[in-house]
Amino acid sequence: MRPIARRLWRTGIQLIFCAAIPLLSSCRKPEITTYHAPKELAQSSPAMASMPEGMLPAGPKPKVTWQAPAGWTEEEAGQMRVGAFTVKDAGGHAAEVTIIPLPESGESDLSNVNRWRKQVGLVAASGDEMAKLGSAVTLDGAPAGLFEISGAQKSILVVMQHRDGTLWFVKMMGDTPLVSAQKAAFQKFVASLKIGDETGNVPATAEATAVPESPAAPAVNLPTPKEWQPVAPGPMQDAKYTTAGGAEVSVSIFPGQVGGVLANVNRWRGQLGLGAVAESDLAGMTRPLSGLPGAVLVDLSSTDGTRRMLAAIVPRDSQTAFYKLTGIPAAVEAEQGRFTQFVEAAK
Amino acid sequence: MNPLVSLWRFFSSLKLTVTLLTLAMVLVFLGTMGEVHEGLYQAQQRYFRSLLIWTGPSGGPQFPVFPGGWLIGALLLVNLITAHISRFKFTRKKIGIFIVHAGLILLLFGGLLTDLFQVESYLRLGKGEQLNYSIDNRHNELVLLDPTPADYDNVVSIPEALLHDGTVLNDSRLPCVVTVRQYYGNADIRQRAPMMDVGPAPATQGLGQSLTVLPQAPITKMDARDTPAAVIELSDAKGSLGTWLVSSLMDNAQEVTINGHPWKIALRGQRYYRPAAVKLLEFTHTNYQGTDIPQSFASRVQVTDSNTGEKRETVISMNRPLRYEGQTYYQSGFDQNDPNVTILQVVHNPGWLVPYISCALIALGLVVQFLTHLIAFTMKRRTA
Repeated sequence: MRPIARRLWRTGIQLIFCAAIPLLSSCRKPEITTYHAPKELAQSSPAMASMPEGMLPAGPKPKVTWQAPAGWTEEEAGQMRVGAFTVKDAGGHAAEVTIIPLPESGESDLSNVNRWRKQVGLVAASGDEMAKLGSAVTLDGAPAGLFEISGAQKSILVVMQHRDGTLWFVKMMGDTPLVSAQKAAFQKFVASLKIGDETGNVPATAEATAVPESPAAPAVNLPTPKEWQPVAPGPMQDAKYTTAGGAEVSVSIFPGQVGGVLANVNRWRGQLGLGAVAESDLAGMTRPLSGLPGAVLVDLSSTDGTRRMLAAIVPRDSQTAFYKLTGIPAAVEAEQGRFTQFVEAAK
Repeated sequence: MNPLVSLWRFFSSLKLTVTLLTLAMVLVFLGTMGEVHEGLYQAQQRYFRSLLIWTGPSGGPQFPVFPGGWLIGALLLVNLITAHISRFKFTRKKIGIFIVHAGLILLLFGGLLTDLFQVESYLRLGKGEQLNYSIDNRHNELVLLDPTPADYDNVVSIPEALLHDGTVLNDSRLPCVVTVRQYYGNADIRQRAPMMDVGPAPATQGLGQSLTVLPQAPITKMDARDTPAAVIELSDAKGSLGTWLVSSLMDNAQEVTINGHPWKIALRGQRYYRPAAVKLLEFTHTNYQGTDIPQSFASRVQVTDSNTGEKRETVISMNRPLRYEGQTYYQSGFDQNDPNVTILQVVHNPGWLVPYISCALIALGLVVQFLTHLIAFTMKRRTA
């Protein structure tokens, strides 16, 4: 072998050895593993709470005010809850009351109710049965559903409310005799709740609140039916009302087309747990509104039949107005006529 | 010349030692500069915990431009060992040098051992809270949990390193086929805003139907971590079940039914479960007077070992870690937002004793070498 070739050969071998040494020590390949994990300990904190400082996502919790019934002991709220209480009686029975806001997950109310039924040892209910299990109540001026789930040993009283993209749970869970005895106190407690924003600003009560005036006042003249009660509008809403049956009406006005009809219909369908539809399906599920060129009305119901939404999209010059009537099917049905007139008369 | 002899000479040469030490100095300089823009963790990974340092246009081909820490360290170790074997002749006079070299080799070896096998995780505990697992500082896992057993959950864990756009995971350990539709190394999530988020939701099932993903740049700060997210499609025997958005920012696992069986899916910090559960009994901390600078922290904890039934209380404070079953629990800090919440760092390092032993060996070698020379010198003077 010639000297240069020999030298190159030698250098090549040396380089291969140089690379091979650490390679041999570092060939750990990530792979799928399986293991048994003990059930979460009762006192453990939620996963999010286990992050070290600086690793917690930003997101202050809404502040809630209440009047707690006598005998309830307020506890530290913790990571997910905005309020927590314990209740005990002389017989050694105990119950826990919690207030938890969660982002809307698309999970149906029926699914939530059946999860609680499972917790107290009851079989799952069907959509029809669920309608009989719940009753309409009001939580901070807006409609909500109260469910009483009684098991042999444990029972749950829960008020559930869909509110501006957040699902609120006010829940009492504990020994059946105590939960049963505390039902009236629980309802009184729910009636006293006022939900504020992250800064602690609690909106004024429905009775004291009219639709705010300018600059937040709507850019349309809204001929509000006298049967509707104006309440403080939520973020990005120009006006909001509750109806006698517990349904909710909201008005939002935005510049431009804000995505068009299909995108908004699919967004609403998502809120009700329904799948998206194609542009070609729109014609069959929308109808025009008289005197409002380009306006459409869409009627949507959740798969479990517990929620219904009537929504109108009305183009107005360079703006688009969105009107929504949401609530339990019976309440929406009762207001359907008034809602259509309201939309068509809005100038 | 025999190629093996040539190779041996190359590895045992002093030129290689000098070259490697020079390269190490340059590497330390580059790594230190890299920290400015990339953050400590990323710089450590790129410059020191690598064979080669790669660079190139963003999204384009990458080229190796410099040897990384592993390559230089491993070569130095080989160089030291081969040079020692080639040149060192064991005599009584050189016994000290021999011990010093042995200590150095052990130190380099210990560094490699620590780098490869050390696992750092943390425990965040409020007063009265108890956890039987710690969470990895950096690594995440996509988990599918079968919650049906009464006493435990069956967990199938997919390391974050396997999650890439378009990856299809069809493994017998998984209950279904998992397809990664989209992976975000760091992303924020927020509720879909009416009128703003008019495009399709990131997922067709679960929480993702009402959320929006906001991709973020990788975190470079040491006191924060990336929060990855992914859109995962699950398919069972009947076909696609839909897509789920998972994020390490989500509190709870989402429920999924796979082949009629209930499962849960979540993306979370990798967990290390242990028989020993740690409960915080009390946490105290003090600042230097008139400042916000912490002076001392101390956590009084109760350790309950489900294997042995042992239950004991102990105090973990700065410079007083708890060593238990191969884990070292250090007092790391506390939650700035809630001073009652302690943060403990949990370190598993199988080679933690190696640096102590190597330093002791080096010190011993130096003393022996010094004494050997001193005695020889004294004896020579007496003889003279």
